[in-house]
Amino acid sequence: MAANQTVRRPKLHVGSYSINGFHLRNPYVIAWWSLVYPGFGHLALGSITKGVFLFLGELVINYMAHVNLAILYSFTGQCQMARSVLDTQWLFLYVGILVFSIYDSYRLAVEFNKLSVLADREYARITPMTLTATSINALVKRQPWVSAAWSVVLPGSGQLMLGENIRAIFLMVVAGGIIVQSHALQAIGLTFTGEFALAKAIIDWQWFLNIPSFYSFAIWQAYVATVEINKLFEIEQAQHLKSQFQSSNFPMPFN
Amino acid sequence: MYILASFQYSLHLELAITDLIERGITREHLFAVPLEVRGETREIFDTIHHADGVSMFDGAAILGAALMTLGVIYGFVHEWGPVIWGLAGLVGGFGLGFVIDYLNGIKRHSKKNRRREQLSEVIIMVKCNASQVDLVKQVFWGHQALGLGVLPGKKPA
Repeated sequence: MAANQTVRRPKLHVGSYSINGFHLRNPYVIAWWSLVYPGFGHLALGSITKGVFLFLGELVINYMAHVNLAILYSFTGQCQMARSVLDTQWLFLYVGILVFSIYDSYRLAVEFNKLSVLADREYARITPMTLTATSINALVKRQPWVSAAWSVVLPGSGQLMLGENIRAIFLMVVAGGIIVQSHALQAIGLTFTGEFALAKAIIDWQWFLNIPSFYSFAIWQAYVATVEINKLFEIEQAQHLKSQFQSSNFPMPFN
Repeated sequence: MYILASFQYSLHLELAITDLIERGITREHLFAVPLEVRGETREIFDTIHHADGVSMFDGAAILGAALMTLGVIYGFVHEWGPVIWGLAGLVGGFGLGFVIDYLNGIKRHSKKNRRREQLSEVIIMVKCNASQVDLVKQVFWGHQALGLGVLPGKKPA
């Protein structure tokens, strides 16, 4: 493809503050993340604005309706408590945002898979790096488990390592908020000194129930993003080698 | 003389090529063949609704999230509290999911998918004089070539 031709279906954008692009995804996995927490499916797909909006919407509605507390009481057999703690007015909003997130992210995953294949078939040249006054971003190969491990230590730091700054900052700021609001660090300290009763008492359960889904998503997304960035590095390098080092003037042996 | 070497896709590969050009190998005397790696061919119609090679981690993350949530919830009523039960759920879920994906993967790909790390991905061929052979070999070995071979060219007439 000629260098000056416009790209109709791009595969990848290496921007100053993000790396975003298409790759094949399992729509059921995306739908699962939307079930875990509305917004996660969209964040995984790269629809970051949509994802952040749905996530913050869910955070507010969940908090106002006390959904997490209701889940906690229901699963531990205290159904009467669950019923009394729920705010029904907000609960119906919760149903809406949850079901919409699952539906929309599943649909987008199917559509994005088609766009990803079309982008592959256009064979458009990928620009592998960006250099601006305030930032440097480039496709670089990394070990997937390393970025996953960083997101274990602090959700979002694996994404920051990859140069996916927008996703990283969102995850890190929200993780900080959830960790502080839930008193998780105090609970961890008390748990490790054996004071289990005090640990349970200090936890804010409405906030604490956000932690499992948040950590799991950050770890999974960092891992998957690393794998895909590595693949795109290879695709771009193969493009470069084919365009530069397959000259018809090469003196072939045994000619 | 011809030198053929195999590499993985990496920045080292580009450094090796540009190093040779800086040392006087003509650009047109370098030839690259990026290989399609076994097990990586695109099966578009089979996979458009499915993931592409990251499934080893999907099941782990799904079960990790689910069991960690359950661990935190039941830690509410069990003795050790939510931190320990939550972490146990996360580790247990990840492990279980990974084992399930791994066993499924073995069934699906049995012999097809060898470990990717050891595969050659690019072949580079260089045309050079006999006096340059050692230089080229040194540059290639110094930039993580996986394998290398020297081919005598036609005798000068």
